[in-house]
Amino acid sequence: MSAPAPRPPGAVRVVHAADVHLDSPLRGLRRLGDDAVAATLRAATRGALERLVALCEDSGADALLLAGDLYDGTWHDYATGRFFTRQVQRLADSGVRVFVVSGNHDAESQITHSLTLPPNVHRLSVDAPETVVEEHLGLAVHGQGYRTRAVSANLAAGYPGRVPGVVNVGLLHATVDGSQGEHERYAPCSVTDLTALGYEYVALGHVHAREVLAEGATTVAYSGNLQGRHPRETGAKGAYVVDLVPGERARLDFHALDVARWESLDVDVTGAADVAEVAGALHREMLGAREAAGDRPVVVRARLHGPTAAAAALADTERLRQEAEQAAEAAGVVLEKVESRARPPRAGGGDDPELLEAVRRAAQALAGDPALTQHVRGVRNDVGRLLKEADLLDLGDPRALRALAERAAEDLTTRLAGGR
Amino acid sequence: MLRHVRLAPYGAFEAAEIALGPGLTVVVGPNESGKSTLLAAVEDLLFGFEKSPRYAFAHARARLRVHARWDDGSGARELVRSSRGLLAGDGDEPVPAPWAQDGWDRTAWAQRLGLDHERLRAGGRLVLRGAGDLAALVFTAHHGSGAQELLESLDAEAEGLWRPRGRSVLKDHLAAVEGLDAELARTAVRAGEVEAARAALEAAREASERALERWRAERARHEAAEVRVRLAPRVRTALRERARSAELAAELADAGGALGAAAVDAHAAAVAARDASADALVVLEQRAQRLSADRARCTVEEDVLAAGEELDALLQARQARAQDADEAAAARRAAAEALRQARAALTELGPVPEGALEEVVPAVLARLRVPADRAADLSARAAACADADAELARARDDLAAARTAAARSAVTAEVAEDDAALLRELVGAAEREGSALRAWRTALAERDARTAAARAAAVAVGAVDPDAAVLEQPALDDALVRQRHAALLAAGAELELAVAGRERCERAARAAEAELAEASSGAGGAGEEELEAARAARDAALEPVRAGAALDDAAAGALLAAVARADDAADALLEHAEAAARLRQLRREAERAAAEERDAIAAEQAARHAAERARAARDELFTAAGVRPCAQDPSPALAALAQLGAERAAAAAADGRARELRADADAQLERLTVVLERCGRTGAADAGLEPALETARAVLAAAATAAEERARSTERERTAQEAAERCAHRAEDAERAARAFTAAAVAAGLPDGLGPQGWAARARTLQVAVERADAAGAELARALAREERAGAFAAAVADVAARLGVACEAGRAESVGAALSALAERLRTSRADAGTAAALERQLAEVADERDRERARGDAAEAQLAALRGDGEELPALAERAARSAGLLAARAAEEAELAALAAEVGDRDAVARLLREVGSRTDADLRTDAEQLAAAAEAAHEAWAQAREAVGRAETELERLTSGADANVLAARRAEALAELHAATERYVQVDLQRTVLRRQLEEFSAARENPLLVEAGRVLAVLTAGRWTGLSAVDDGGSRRLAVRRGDGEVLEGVEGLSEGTADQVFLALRLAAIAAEHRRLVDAGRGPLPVVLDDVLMTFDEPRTGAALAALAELARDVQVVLLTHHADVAERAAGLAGDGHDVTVTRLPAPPSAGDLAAGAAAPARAARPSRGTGADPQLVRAWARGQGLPVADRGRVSEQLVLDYLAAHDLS
Repeated sequence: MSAPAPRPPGAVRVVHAADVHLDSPLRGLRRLGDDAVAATLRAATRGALERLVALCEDSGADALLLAGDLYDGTWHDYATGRFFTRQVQRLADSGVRVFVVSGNHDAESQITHSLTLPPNVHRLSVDAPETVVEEHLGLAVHGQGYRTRAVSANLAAGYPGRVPGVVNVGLLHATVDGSQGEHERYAPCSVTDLTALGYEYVALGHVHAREVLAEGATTVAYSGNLQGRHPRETGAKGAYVVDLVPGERARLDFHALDVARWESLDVDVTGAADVAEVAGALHREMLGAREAAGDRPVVVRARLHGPTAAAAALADTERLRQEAEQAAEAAGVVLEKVESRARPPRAGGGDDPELLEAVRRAAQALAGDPALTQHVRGVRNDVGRLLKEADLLDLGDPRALRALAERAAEDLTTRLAGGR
Repeated sequence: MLRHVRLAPYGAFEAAEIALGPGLTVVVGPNESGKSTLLAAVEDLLFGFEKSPRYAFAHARARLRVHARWDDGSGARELVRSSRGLLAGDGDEPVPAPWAQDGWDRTAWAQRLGLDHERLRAGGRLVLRGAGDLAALVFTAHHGSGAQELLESLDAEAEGLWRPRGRSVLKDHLAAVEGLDAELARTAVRAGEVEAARAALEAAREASERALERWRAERARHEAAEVRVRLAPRVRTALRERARSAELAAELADAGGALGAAAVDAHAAAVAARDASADALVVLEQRAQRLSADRARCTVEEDVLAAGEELDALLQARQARAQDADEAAAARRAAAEALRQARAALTELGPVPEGALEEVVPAVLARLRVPADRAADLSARAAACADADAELARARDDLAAARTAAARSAVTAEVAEDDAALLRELVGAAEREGSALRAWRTALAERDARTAAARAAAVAVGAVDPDAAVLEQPALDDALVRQRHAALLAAGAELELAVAGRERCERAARAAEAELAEASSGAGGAGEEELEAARAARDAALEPVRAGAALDDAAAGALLAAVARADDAADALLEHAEAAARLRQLRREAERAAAEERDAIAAEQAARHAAERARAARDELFTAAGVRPCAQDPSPALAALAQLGAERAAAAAADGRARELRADADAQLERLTVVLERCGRTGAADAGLEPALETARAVLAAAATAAEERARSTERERTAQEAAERCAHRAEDAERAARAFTAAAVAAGLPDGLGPQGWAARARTLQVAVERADAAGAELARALAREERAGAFAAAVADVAARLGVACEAGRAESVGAALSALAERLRTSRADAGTAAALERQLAEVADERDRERARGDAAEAQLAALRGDGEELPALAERAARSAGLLAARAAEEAELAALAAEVGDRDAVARLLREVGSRTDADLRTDAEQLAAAAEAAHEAWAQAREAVGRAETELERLTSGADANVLAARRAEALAELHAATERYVQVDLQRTVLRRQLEEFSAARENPLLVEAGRVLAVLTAGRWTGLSAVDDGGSRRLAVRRGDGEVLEGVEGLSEGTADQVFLALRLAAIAAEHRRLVDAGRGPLPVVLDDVLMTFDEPRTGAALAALAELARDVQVVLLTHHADVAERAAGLAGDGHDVTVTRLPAPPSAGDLAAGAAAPARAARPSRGTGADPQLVRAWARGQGLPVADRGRVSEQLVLDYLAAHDLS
């Protein structure tokens, strides 16, 4: 964690974070052991929150702004709230005010309702936009939280005008037009809606990718989430330290606070003679990711591509995973998933070309087979409900099965065309 | 194409030529005529000789030659295969082979194109089980093996991942997730439960409030009862006044001088008011006392309530501050430990004064610190000292090693240089090529080898005593033996003819006897006497007729019967006569056959005697020569006898040469003996030349060693001297470095005697102490920061506690905690009692107001009485007048006044009326009982309120329990991991299952849609070979096992070879092989490479005539494209093949030239034939064993190890065991 810059004279300093999703486990990790890395990964969101509190203390922040989704809606363990209370108590001891708006996940969280928070924490109203003026700080915070999960109204439209003579900050959990990523569209609004408020800064939550949407008299930004939680949330995650002077442009300084990092590697294995060479290339890429992430654990998803004589062996996914896990262990990273899109350099093997062609056609036709859902009925009876409830795989969904069938077809033809 | 082969020499052949046609060539030769040799020769021609060729038993490998004429369509060329490679026929230069070499070797050709019957059958049996070279073509040619293997692999993986029943990877993962779910359910505290607990607490508090209200109501009822008890006398008074008013009314009517009503009323009212006021004051006083008692039971502490918010904040921060205190304590412990470590380090450098470590350690560190520049200088000088000492130690080690080496002086025997030179000359002469000694040894070795060969030949001859036969040649006349053997063969033939004749005669005699016996069994029947008796009976019956007597019925019947019997007897006699004639004929034939049989037996006996005589005559020749008679053809024995002679002669010649060379060797020994004795080795030559030479070599080696040792000793002494000089220099260097360090140490004020090593240790120890002291400082600072925060918290608690009168020592955490807990409890209690106290105080205020009012009313009554008094009239007089004059009014007024007073007491007139009724209807005892019961009810309500307060306490405890449970986040993370495993395994299973489904379906469809072309071709050939009785072949490949199926003409399909006859199985094998050969040929041609010849050795040996004919037709058909050579020992096969030429086939028939006899070999042994390698441990020649075994009809392979049992049988047959 880099050291915060000195605070400009007369500025109000706030730390903007969002989407903590406290105690929400990292997704997709398999077979973690019981070592220190595993412990770090299992408590990653807590570790990131501790770093956030430390950042507030070290930077001498006046206030912490949490722009929604502090918890996961379905997670109900009271200890999670207690942990949060301890952290904000630390901030209370340091004299840091905390402003929170509830997001869509918080709206249905039992934890939100069961906590008694220290007096430095102010949870903004869910019924109407609320303004809190901290005269001694010269700061006015405007915001409204979610009463229910699905808020379709433009909350920003109801935010009040600026309070004169102080720094005005808006706090909002919303989908702003033009933002990145695929998120459910809640409290939709436009950048214009937000800049029209005339605040110095609008701290947004909901979108997990960090992004500054507007800069100028009003700066509008998503801080992104505090800790990447699945393979698509790659790169550094953290919070903004924002220095604000009334009527002046906000100054943002991003600080990475994630305790574990996700990386996605595209590895070109063109020309690799065998699996050992592929493993070597994979190892080199993993080492690169390891070095870029500093001293924090790195979770890697790797995808291999390019023509290689080893393509058939790589299409054996169990073998591929074993090789990749060995490379990951040697490189000091954690493997989430590895998949091969490598293809044989040319058709080969001892099988009849007509047979290969027939298998290829039949395999490709698999995806269009209307009986796919019937085909997996047996295994669906055993594990289908659990996987569907976990939002991992719906064995009754023809689209999901079609994707699996396409992948199966590709691997099968690759293994056959490569000789095995 | 191979057109001509000449074996010259090769195997047993010196020069054998075989011409081959372009199509089918049938080479005929009897057993042991060299067919296998020809097959091996073609193999060697194509791929070169092995290191130890099988057929180098008569000629050494280097002499073997296979000449060939190769025609590749553009012209013929002569080639020779020799041990140096393939040579052009007209030169000595190696040339490249014109036939395919790429992908072919000896083994491949022998398996696929150069087959004998055993290999054909072995390959066929393998393919029926799905193995061998053919299986690769039969089972994989049309789709390859990869898909099938992949399918098996996918099946195994899918079964492991999931199956409907039994354990599987998916089910294991599922169980893991469910287990974690259960653990989560046990561990995780639902925030909703916390919320519910809070709600329960609120409900308990509300219930407590309600209980309080109930208690208040009961208490009011109780107070009302108390009022009734209290007012009962007055009520009864009122009632009595009412009665008295009636009495006074009568008296007033009599007295009449009453005061006015107003005055009386006023007087009575005043008196009543005055009395009521007094009574009310008493009641109010009692009530006030009870309320005050209740109020006193409420523990409302205003100061605690005032500090409520402050206490709430302190309770909120309590947990965080406790954590600070723990961290501070840990930091202090760490600091103390660091200081102890620092002190321990410093103690190593000298005494450390007692005292607080945080003061002592820095002081000692400051005292011991050496300025950095001086420390660096000292370290450098200490390092220089260490280097110098190390150099000195190395120099001393070198010196010691050099002196030890120099001290080792080798004491070696001296040998004069002249003697050494002479010895070298003698030894060299003895070892040179061509020397007498070496020639003598060679002659001896040759003699021994020849003797051994002669003995082997003697064994082969069958000598009773092989050693004696080596010493003396058995006198066996070759011509006489052959002559008598021919006679024996002729006698044997005669005997066979005689036996056949005897058997024929025996069969004829048995047949005649059987016929005779059959005829005899049917003979017999009526004789002539019987006929005569019948005729006599008939005549007797006719006599009465002849006599003219009349016949009665009985006589007529008897006559007719007698006539019929006579006729039957006559007919039977006629038939018997014919049978008797045939029987006689048969008897004669039987007798003739018996006579012929006897003659044949005699002839057989004569032939047998003649054969025995011939065998005895022949065997006598062997026995006389000391040789065992041979059972069959004597040619091998005679050939071995010739070889025995040759070997004996060669051994004798070698022995003669050895004797001649012995003299020269003895002269060398004599010279050697003289020189060795000069060298002190007396008697070394007594044992002979070899030990003497060995001794001479040892003396020479010792002399050379001694010279080398002398040179090395000189070198060691020089090395030791140099090491001593270096050691002295290093000692000076070390001394200088030590002096320099000592000077620097003194200058730095270090203790005396502190050497360089001491300095280094001291510097390290100091470094450790400084590091530990710094660490202690850091931990102390951290502890102070935490303690400061905890201290501020404790001070705040102590401050509040002091204000609220609770003992609290800010410096003691347990005291602070206890105080805070006590305050929290007091705050909670005070808040709960505050409401009660407020209500009681309101009631007290009301009572006080009421008392004031009562007092005022009393005062008013007194004033009113004073106003009613007349002038001068005293109050008692007024009272008397009033009392008297009031009369009725007074009495009525008294009643009304009492009622009014009661109404004022109990609220209103209705209440007074109720009171009058209640009191009037009950006794005082009843009223007291009612009051007591209502008191008990009030007490019960109070108890209920206490229980409600306890429920509040329990709800608070439950809330505390829920809000301090263990964290479940790690369990949730583990569950996510288990789910990820399940997810990945499920996806994998679905993919693998889909893959195997597709692959299996396609393989099945593919196999069903396409027949293997090789099997189609083999089926066609099989149909030709079996004349349509078997029509096709198909491959069965169910994933687990592969088998070949044969389809019969009637459509039935047999899997494997079990259901086939041996001949049919061989036809299947041949069909498969011929189809494979055709396919191989097509591949070679397609690849533009020269074709390879096909050589088949006796592959039709199990075929009967029809099968042979069909097979020849198939071979001739194949030979249209491929050159085929068929080796056979059946002349009729050749004749049948020749017959095919007329059908348009290109057929050549040739005979294999006979190999030379053993005698020829022996005679022509000028070229050293390579001795056949004897079978290990038995002494029997494998070639001889093979030849004997084939003669006996025993199976034996052409190559490889001969079985031990076969060798033992061979030795037993020749009495060699």
